[in-house]
Amino acid sequence: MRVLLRHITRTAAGTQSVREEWVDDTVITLGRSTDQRVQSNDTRLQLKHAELRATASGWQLVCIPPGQAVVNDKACRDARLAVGDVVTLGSLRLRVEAPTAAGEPQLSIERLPDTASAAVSAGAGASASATAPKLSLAELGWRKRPWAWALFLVTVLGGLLLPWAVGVPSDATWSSGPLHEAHASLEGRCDSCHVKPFQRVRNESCLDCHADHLRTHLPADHPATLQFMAQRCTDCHVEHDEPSHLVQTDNRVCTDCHAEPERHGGRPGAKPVTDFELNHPPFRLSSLRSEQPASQLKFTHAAHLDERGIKAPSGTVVMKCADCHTPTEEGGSFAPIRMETHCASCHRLDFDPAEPDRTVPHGDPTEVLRVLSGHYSARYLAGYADPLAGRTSTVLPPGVEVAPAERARLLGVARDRALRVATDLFERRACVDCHTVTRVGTAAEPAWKVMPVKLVSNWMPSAEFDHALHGTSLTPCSTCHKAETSKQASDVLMPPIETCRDCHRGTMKTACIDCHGFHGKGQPLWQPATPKAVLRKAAPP
Amino acid sequence: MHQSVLDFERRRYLKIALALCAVSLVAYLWHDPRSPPNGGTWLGYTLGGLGAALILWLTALGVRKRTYTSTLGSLQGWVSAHVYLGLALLLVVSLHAGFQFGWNIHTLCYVLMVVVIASGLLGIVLYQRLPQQLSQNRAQQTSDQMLTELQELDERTRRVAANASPDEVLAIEANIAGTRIGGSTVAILSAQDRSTVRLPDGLAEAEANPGQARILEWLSARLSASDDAGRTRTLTDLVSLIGARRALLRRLQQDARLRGWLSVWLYVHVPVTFGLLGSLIAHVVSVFLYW
Repeated sequence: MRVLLRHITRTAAGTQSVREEWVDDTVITLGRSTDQRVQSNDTRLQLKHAELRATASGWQLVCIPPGQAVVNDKACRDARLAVGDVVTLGSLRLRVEAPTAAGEPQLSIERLPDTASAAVSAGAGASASATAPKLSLAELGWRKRPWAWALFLVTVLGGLLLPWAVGVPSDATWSSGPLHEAHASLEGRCDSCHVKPFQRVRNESCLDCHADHLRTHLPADHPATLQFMAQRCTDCHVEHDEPSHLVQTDNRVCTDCHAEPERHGGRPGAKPVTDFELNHPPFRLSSLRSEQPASQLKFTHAAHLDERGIKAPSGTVVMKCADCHTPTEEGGSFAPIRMETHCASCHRLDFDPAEPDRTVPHGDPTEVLRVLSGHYSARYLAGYADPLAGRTSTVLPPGVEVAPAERARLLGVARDRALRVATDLFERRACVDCHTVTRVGTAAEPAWKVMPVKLVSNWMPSAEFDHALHGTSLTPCSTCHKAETSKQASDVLMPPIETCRDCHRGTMKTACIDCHGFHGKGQPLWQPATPKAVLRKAAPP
Repeated sequence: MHQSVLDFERRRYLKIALALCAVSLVAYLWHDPRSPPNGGTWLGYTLGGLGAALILWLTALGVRKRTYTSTLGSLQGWVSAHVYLGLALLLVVSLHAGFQFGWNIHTLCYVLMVVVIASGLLGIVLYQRLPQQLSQNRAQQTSDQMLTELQELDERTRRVAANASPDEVLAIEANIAGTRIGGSTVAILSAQDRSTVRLPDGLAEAEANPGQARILEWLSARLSASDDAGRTRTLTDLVSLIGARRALLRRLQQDARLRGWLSVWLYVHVPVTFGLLGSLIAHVVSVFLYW
């Protein structure tokens, strides 16, 4: 059986032309695929969308799932079609015509203008109509470019150009972290240190404030001085970091050189240091290094700290360390020991039983003699009852002058007396208890020389030890200082390094800087960093 | 067979990114500066330079994808590298900063970078699932074709409704007029149907009609009350057409939702990238301005 297909084409003007096609097949395939009898590019159709089968009793529509067709405005899959039925498949409109005179089934096929593709080519498309829903973010007005440029401008202007040009917002927004609390007053005043744009912070900026205190680590004649001159303050003192650490506590600041001191210009024999706990030379006492003479004092800690007490003018006294070693106000160290303050209450310098409160001055032997002479001269002239002489001086009535001869005699007696008392004080009773005393001068004009006492106030000046920080008010002094058993004045009661290591080990690590200052006292002023080129020239080859 | 950009060249760029992370991390752990780790140590400058170069290169994807004639590697390779190296950037820059943050331009730059990376990550996740759903939902149609189909469906409904009673015609028109899908960001992204319908014998106010539920309910009631065969056929046709409309609207909403999610992250990713570039300039210049 043949089938007649009438392809209808409508022009824009409304006229229509018909092309007839005879097909020797009763199955008319419809779809997008090119092997379909009726092919359409409408994407609403599947590749193989439907078939129209011509039978003796008429046309049968069979859609291939999930394809659907609209038959007379009604969507369906399969349908038996009668003459006049219209099948719409996307932009294809098929109409069942009455069979030809010879009884051959007939279909007219019209291609409607593709509304979808027309809409796309029209630009705004279907959504251009007023009622079309807005189904994309772009249609709602979402845009990327304006926001992108706005954000770019805001960040460049607000983050860089405006703070730079007009200072708004503040250039403090460039600060990468807070300043150390010591520099808190500089917070927000960036130009205190950042003087010139694109130039690293220079030492001069630091020295503006710190010139009075900052010293170099080395004496000026140290071989490594040149090396230090190239250093910038900020090489070690880094600001704007968190946690803030203005002072370097990392041992490498020191051990980079001190691990091999000789390689870095240290003096020959200098001991290497890498770590307090593991590799640090024993403590060295300043007296041994500087050939300091002994204290010239006759003194033992053991005698003074006798648990049974010692005899004193006021009775038996049990002494404590703090009786002599009184902490300074800050508590970090101790006030210097003074005879008048710490010794004189027991080691009394009285000399006249008649006047037990009268004492000779401590210090200059000549002054002692002068005071004694003065004392006895006045007393003898005033009718002094000498309890030792066994005789009474002349007692004159008030208003009567002593005759010159008697006066000379009395003065002579007084001088003899003063010399006797002085000899007693210097050689037997008082001074000699503690001092090395030698008699000098003649028999007629005797004099004494007392070896000056030299107490060491700081046995380890290269290190600092803060008693207050170590809680020594709670710890017996004997923990570190073996005073109770010290029987020689020459004993140095400084603890060895091992005593410190009892605590300072493991997790209680000690940094070099905890004991050793870097910018030490008595050293030359820190110099601004010298350009490396200059140093290379200056350095010995 | 479709190959995900994530699997490009046997995940070549994943390996490169992991190697970059490993090298950076090892260097960071090995590097033991005297001060807390920060951008000012030699490693800090190195990681910072690397991070800045990466940011500029990652941004260049926007240029590369528009340069159709480029011979600088395939676009798929670029996207693959963009994804993996972009994720690696997070670690590289965190190590550069030494994990030091504050209220300043430098941390702003970092935060913007994190926002860009996070939005990009969202994009990766979305692009792993949604395109497949989108294409299934479209069933080879375009969005515009679906809209056209809706218009055609509505025309057909109107033609069928012409046989129905006048108030049913009104209801059908009110249903078409009251259709509200999309129209707002939330509605698009949650596929919300805010349609309403004002029924002739119903309340004075328009009634909510999500998924055509109310109009279907109303028509069904009329259908069950109908005792005339012609009228029953018309109403059955109308119910069937509205049912088709409901399905089509659902597909349109899903289509909008999927397209919305596929694009929404880019509305963050791209503009914030430019904010990042601006703050990166401010960060780098200000660091050396106040060296």
